[in-house]
Amino acid sequence: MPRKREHHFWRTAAECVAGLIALALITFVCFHARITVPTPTFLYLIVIVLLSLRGSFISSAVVSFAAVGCLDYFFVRPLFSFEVGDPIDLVAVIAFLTTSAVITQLVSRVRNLMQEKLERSETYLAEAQQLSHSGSFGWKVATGEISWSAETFRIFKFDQTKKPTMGLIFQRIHPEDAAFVKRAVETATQEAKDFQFEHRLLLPDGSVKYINVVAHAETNNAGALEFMGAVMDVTERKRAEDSLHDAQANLARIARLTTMGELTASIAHEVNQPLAAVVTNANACLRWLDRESPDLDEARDAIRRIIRDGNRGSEVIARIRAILNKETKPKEWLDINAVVRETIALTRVYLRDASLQTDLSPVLPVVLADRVELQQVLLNLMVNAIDAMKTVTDRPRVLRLQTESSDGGFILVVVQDSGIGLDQNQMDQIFEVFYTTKPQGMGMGLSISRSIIDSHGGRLWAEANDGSGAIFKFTLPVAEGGAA
Amino acid sequence: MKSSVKTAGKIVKPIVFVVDDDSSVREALSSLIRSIDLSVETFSSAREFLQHKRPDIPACLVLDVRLPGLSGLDLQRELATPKNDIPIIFITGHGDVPMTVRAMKAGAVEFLTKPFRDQELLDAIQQAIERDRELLKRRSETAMLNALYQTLTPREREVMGLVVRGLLNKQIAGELGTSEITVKIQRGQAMKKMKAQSVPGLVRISEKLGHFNQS
Repeated sequence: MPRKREHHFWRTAAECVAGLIALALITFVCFHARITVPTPTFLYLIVIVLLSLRGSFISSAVVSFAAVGCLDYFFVRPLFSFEVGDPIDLVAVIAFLTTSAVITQLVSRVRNLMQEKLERSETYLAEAQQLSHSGSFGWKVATGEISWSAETFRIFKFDQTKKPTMGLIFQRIHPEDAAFVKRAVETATQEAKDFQFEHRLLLPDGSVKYINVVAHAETNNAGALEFMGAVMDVTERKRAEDSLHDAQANLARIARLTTMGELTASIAHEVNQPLAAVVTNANACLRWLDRESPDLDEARDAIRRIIRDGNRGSEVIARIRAILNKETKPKEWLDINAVVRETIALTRVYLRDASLQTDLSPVLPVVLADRVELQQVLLNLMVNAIDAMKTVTDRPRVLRLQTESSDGGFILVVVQDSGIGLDQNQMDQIFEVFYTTKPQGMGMGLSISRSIIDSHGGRLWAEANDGSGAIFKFTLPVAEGGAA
Repeated sequence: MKSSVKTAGKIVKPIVFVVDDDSSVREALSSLIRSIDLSVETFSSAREFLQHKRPDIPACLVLDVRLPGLSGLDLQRELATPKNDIPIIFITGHGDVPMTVRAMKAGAVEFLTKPFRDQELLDAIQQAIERDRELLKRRSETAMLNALYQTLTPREREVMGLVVRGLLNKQIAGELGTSEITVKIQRGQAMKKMKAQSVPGLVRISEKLGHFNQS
């Protein structure tokens, strides 16, 4: 960089001139005041030390030699000559020269060391920021002065020559998030509080970035508010989260298909039953019409039943389709009892091997939940319960479903069976992926059920039944402000 | 096909019992069966049907195989006594072969898979009612003979039992330790009371009463 070198040269020249002027001044004053050798010597040393602290090695070296010259010429006898008469004076001159050289060297070395350390830590910081995709910033609220680190510039995709301003930042914030960010920042400045939020950036190339902003508020002695914080690019994490979520949804779907597979007979029955009724009613209707004196009332009744049963059949199919091809739908306000009843309707035939007892509390608040996901959890627990009772012959096979209000704003759902039960070991393991007690099991159902309930802010766990069998319980938080 | 019978001068329709847990299917079957002038009574479970008192008219049972609680096949087993016997037509959502074989072996009239052709069901119902009419006839005949049998004295019953086993009067007298003449009188009484014209006739009556089954 020739330009930098030139700049360096002029700077050194200026330092030399300044140092020499200082020497001249000291020499002039000391000479006319007839001050003896030690004083100007020390004053010269002070100039040299200051120059080495502030300036370059070259300028301090030049000034050092000049100082030796001045000392010899003006203060060491014979005056006005570079000769040294007294050998003692020679020692003094050499001592001065050595001292100044050592000081210059030492200061220069310390400075270089510090410079290097500073540069290295700056490099580290910049690299760390780049690696962690986090940039730092400072913001003096009163003056509106904003400072960014290189990584912050990179995150916002601005050139480092630009001066960061609020306007510049809002150029990048996703239009859909702008209002929210504005509100959050305003609140933080008004209350002088730390803030943290996540929002999107819409970059000029049309790509979207997710960033996490954290800032710490500090008020200085003068009462001026300043924020210092970090901007983190969390796009990759967000993408990973999204794909994890997709993978989980797919897994849940596979598990759902498996469960539905176990229920094929039950489902076929549910569809076939109204179909059979439709066909029989249609035949009956024809016969009522074909009589010698057609019975229109009976025929009409039969047709009404055809309509009713046809609708019932299509409802069953819609319900099955909803479970099989679940689309990501927003959560809705749900009456948990209705969800339980719908699930029973799908499993009726499967449940026939056991007697079903329901104890559904009539006064339950609504929950904000995903209908199909809750059905999946219930299906899973009910199928497990029936499977656990298949080999039971010495006692009644009872499946009990219960809903009730629970403490702390939760609804409790209980699925209890009189099957083979679980020992303590199994109780700990059943929720792990790929752990199964069934010969044909995948070991997915319960782990998926648990993650579904977790994502609803509830809890799913197992308990031993007092007599025999197992109890599965899950809670769901009651929707705020929602009442049945 | 004539399906009404005359009882005490009044026309009584044969009755079809339907047991299915699905109300839609019950209503549809009821309408179809009524459309051919038969009476229908429906039940939602096997237990409910068992508690019902059966009238003494030709009847049959249309029964769903899969029922909550007592299944259709269980009910068939419960009904397999001379007193409760009723022709059964099974209907099912999905019948497998072993289930069908079991039902047919136990005497079912027909095994139909839903949805079935109406004519198939109605034919089966007619056939079942005919079968029940036979059963009913045999049952009432047996009941009548039983009533006659009740009029015999213990000694006359003994004599009758020995006669149908083919023993001569003399042998019977020896067996019972009485005179031949007494046996002859008692035998005549028994034949008269049982309205038997001949010894073979008495043997047939005895068969109908099921006396041979026991020995």
